[in-house]
Amino acid sequence: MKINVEMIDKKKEEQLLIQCYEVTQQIDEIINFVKSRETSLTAYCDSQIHFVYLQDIYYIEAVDNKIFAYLESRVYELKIKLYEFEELYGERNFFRCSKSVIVNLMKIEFIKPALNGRFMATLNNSEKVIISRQYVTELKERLKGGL
Amino acid sequence: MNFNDFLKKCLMNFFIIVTCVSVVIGIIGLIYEPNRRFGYEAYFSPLIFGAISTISSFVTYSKKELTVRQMIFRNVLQLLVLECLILITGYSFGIMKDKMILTSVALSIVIVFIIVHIISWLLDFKTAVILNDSLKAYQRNDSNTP
Repeated sequence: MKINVEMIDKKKEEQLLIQCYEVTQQIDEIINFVKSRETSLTAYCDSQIHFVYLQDIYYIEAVDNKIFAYLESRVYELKIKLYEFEELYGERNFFRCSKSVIVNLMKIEFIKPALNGRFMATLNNSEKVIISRQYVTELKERLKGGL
Repeated sequence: MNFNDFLKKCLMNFFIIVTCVSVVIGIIGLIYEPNRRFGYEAYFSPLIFGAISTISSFVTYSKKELTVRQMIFRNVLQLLVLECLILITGYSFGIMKDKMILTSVALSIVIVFIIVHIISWLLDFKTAVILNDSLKAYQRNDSNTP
């Protein structure tokens, strides 16, 4: 496999691009290695401790003073406050979309209007998350950088 | 939504409702009593009915985030409260004594209610299109995509 390393400006974000004919076990190992170097959180499920990668989280929800991280098909409890999560990872594609939910912007498939000025975000795993009207202006501002 | 934002939204709805009520009163008047003449006080009736309609929207306010089903239920409840408030007010002040007028007004309320919600939904749909375009651009530009 040919390896290219390109130096980039500090304004740009670092990335690893893999160009392959098919995703083999070797490619998966490379992806897992890179992921393991990324931020992971300590999470709890069925009295067991797990590590979840930040980029795998679809959304975070506060329910009865507990914080849950929703991944594609699994749910983990996090021992962190919602505002702490927002402070720590708000800059990294996470956005507070209602009082009790922080959503990963990279996992939103599309947004459509819900009733009474609210919006419904459909995620890549078909789950739906409500975006409160009060956060819509902030969301527009946040996404403006993407255009 | 906090209460201040809710009040701002109510104010916007108030002006939409006043406009729609004026149009409906004009149409109903032309159909049933085209020769009737009014004094200046008639200008206040759309405002009064607009205020009554806006007050009814307070049943949709909640500090907690409502689900779509809960919101639909509250909207239906709002329509019922609205019908009752307007018909009772109209009947009490002697504006709507005739059965035919009462039925027409009741039907008009439903139509105005639906129009207000359609306009509101269309505005939100426009916002959703802008959000989706920005979102796609954001996701394309972000190199963190796994």
